[in-house]
Amino acid sequence: MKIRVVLDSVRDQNLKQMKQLNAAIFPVKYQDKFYSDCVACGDVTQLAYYNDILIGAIACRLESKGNGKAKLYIMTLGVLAPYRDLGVGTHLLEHSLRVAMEDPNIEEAYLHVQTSNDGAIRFYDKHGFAIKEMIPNYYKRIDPPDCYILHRSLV
Amino acid sequence: MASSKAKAAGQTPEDRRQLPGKEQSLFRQIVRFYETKQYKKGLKCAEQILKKFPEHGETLSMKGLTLNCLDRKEEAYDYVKKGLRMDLRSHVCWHVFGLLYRSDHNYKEAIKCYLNALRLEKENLQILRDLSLLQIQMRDLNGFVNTRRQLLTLRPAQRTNWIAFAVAHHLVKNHDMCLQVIQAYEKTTAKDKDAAGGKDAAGEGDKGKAGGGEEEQFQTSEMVLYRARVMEEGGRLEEAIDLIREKDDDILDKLGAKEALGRMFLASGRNQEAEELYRGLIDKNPENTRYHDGLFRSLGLPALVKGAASSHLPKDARQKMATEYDALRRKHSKCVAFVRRVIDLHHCEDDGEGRAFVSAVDAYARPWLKKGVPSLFQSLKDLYEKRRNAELIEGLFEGYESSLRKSGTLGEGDSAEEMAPDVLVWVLAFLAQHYDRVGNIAKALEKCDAAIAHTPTVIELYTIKAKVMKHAGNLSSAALLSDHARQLDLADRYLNCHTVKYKLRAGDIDEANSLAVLFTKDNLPGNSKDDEKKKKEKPDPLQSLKNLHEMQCIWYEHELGSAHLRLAEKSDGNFESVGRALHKYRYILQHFDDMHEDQFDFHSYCLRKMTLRSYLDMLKFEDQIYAHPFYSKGAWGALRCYLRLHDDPPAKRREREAQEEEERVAKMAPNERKKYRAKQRKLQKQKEQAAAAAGDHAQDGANNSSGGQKPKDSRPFLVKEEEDAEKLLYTENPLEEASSLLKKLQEYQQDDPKLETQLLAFEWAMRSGKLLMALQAVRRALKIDGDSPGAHLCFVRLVLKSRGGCLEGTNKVVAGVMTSYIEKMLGGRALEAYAESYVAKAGSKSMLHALVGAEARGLASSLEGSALEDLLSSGVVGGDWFTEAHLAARTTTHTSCIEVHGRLAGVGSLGERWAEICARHFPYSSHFGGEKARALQGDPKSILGVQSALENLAIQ
Repeated sequence: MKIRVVLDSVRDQNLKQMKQLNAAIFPVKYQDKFYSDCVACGDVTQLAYYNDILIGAIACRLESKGNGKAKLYIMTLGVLAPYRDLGVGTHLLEHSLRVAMEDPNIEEAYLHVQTSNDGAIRFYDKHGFAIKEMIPNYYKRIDPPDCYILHRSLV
Repeated sequence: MASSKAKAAGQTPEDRRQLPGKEQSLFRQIVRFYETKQYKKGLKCAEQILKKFPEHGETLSMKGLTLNCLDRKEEAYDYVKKGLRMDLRSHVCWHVFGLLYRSDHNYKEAIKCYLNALRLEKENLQILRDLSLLQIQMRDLNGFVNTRRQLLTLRPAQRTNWIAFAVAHHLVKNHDMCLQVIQAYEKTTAKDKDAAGGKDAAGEGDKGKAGGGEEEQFQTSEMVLYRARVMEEGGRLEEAIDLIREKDDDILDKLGAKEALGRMFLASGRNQEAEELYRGLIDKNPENTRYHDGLFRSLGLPALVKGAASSHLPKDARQKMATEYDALRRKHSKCVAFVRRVIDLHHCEDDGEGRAFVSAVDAYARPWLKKGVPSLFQSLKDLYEKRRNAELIEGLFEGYESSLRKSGTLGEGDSAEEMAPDVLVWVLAFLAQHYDRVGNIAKALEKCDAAIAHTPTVIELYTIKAKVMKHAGNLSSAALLSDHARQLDLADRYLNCHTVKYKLRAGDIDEANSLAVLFTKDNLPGNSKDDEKKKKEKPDPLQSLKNLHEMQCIWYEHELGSAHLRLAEKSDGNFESVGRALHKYRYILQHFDDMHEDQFDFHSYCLRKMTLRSYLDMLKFEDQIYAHPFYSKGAWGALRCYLRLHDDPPAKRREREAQEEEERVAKMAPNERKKYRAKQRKLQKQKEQAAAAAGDHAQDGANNSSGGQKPKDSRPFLVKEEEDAEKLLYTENPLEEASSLLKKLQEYQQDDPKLETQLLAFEWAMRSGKLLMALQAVRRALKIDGDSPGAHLCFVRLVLKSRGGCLEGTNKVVAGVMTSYIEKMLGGRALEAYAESYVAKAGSKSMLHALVGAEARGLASSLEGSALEDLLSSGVVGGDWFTEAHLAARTTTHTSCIEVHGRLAGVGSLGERWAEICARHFPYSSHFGGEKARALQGDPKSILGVQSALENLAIQ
């Protein structure tokens, strides 16, 4: 079964919905800086609605590489448990990558993922990401504390 | 004065009125300046004339009228009255006096002035026209007919005069005459048209043709439909039907014409034609249930009345209707109204298990659940009048839930379609509201939490849970939940209003106000061109509360007034809150006066524009505007405030407090007293400073306003409100104010009397010593609800009062009426026995019935102390009020528990015992100090659930 998803950007008016969503999905509480980045970075951060209900979101940030070039950092990508395996995550990720690729200055995309998160690693593998390195003790209060950096070129 | 009289001797009043040429032209200028709103110039002209002719009546009057427009009311009345005294025979002076009254909305006096003016100047068109407007506004219908007749006689060439004359006859129900006038008019225009061949026929009518055929087409169409309506109301149905059919080509409002035809077919028994017509209308708009009713009536079936739940309809009639709906559904598969109405046609008792009823609900609910329509429960709420219906609905939705959890479908068999994940959320949301409605709060919360755990981003879940918490007796949690919902979508005005309401219920007035201004005109983005500038101009955002008042935001004012009144009613409450509450309630009343006033402009506009049917509908609406539920609510609130002010006059209270203070100070040790006095002085000083600051503000405004006009009131809105509220606190005669309100309520509620009005009327009458009025109120109250606890208690109090010797010395007729009614009610029994019989009859209906029954019983035998305690203990506190049946019927709610608690307080230890019982049944109740309420107090946010477990985890 597939469901029809409508995307919307993050604004001050609906920011709290994203917070509510993230609190339900991730075992991490994000700081206000995270959310102000989301609002500031425009279309690479998107909310996914089904039947007017927020069910998933992708949050990205653009990081400068210094030479006028930038890379896309995927901070979070999550879908509420009951709505998984319905293509929502793919929809969100493809949207952000498409937006990034429209800008020739954005050359690559990367993200952190907990080493034990096989599902996520498989998901990103399907979308052209590969493990670049491992950072031990990246997380403070979850186990295992290590993470991989997944990477994909956008050019 | 004396000398001028001598000079004037020998002159007729007309001579004195006559001004020399130069002044005459000056006088004409005053009138022109008045009409072009150049009041200051007009004033100068008037003063120039008055320098030479200080007693010229018409000039004095005009000066007054001009001053009125410059906001100098008092002077205005002085000059106008003086002018009239100088020249009583001048129609101008009378006219001006009328205009002045009219500007103050004192239409009654204005009419008198106009009539005087007309006596002196019979054919003055301007005055006649003004008078006719006032007469229709005041519904002086016979006067209106007369005035319109004169206008028509004077100016028969004007179309408006004919129309208005016809409408006047219609309003006095002289339908034949109305039709004759229209006919006569149409004949003249037809003749003119023929004669002139379309050239300059009826003035205006022809202009319409030249300027745009559309307008004339509309007027012709409206005229036909208006005539048909007059015929219909006059009982000339066949004629009306023929007219509509004959003039079909002229009619633009085809739908209105069809609806009129349908009504008339039914009324004249032409059922076959009615059926055909209504089927056509249903094809046009199947969702309009009035068409369904029309169709059923044409088939000889009774109409389905909403709310009455069709319980009175015989089974075979319902079956026929259901079959009809089945056929219609095949034709209009998307129509919702059919599916919903079919539910009303299937009674749960029709078959043993209520299968037909359940399958009707099932058919209705499924598409809504799939779509995720939050109002599904709302649209089925009517069915909950019957306990059995609720049980069947519960079974159906519980079935949905378990089936979704098991197989992801709504049910087995051919309907086993796989559902999207959110369907479960809507099923849970429905169940939460269902359990809340049947009084099972624990279950309702369970369903809320399950839904939130499933999809925490559905905003409605938090408003639903807020409502449940409200019923659970925890208003602050409810407000917190509502606020959470609001924060999830800050652009949603409904959610903002929801939170304002919930904050007010929780008594958090300041917070509510600061949210309420968020969606006012000044604060909405896009409405202000320069936000920065605005912010500078308005240091106080609460200033925008004024905007809510200007927008006649009645629900808000009612909630705000009630919040203040609740504060005043608290044992440690601030009595000044009564003034604030009264102030808000009076705002509501004022809005209705304004709305009534608003019709004024339409009298001339509608007749000119020929929107006759809408005009008549509007008149009907305005005639009943004070019967609107919100008017009653506002008036009841105001009445409660007035009664409070009468029972506990603030002036006396102030005195008493001052005295107590003095006594307290007298008891203090000297150095203690000194310290105390210093503190008081400091407080006083602060207060004065605050008042001075507010005064400065007003001063600024005064300096800005240009001379001549009174300074505009520029005190900050809230300061002004506070001052007005305090003034109301010292209302001189609260009972008199209450009396006029009650009169209006009784008058407008005649067709649909309300219990609350009668009970308040009783309280007023008892305080005013008007026994007959008290009797009337009790009688009406008992007629509305013979078992009403309030009415019963009033009756017993009245009997006791009448026996207390107050009948002696009163009018014999009054005493006679009283005793005969009381005798009739008692039916030969003693009062004790009567009170006993009430307990037997109604005592098990609800806790309030039982409590008031016992109270009345106690009053009847003047029980006190432990005897009363025993009576209340066995009858009320010991009663089994928390059964499913009582909870589901809403005879036991948290609110009614509080009311009982209030009345039990002071009767031995009953209050405490009752609170204990209630705390067990309402664990979230903050009033009764329930266990869960105490836990929430320590951690209020835990009610929001979900997040709290992760609160401490933080990375990045």
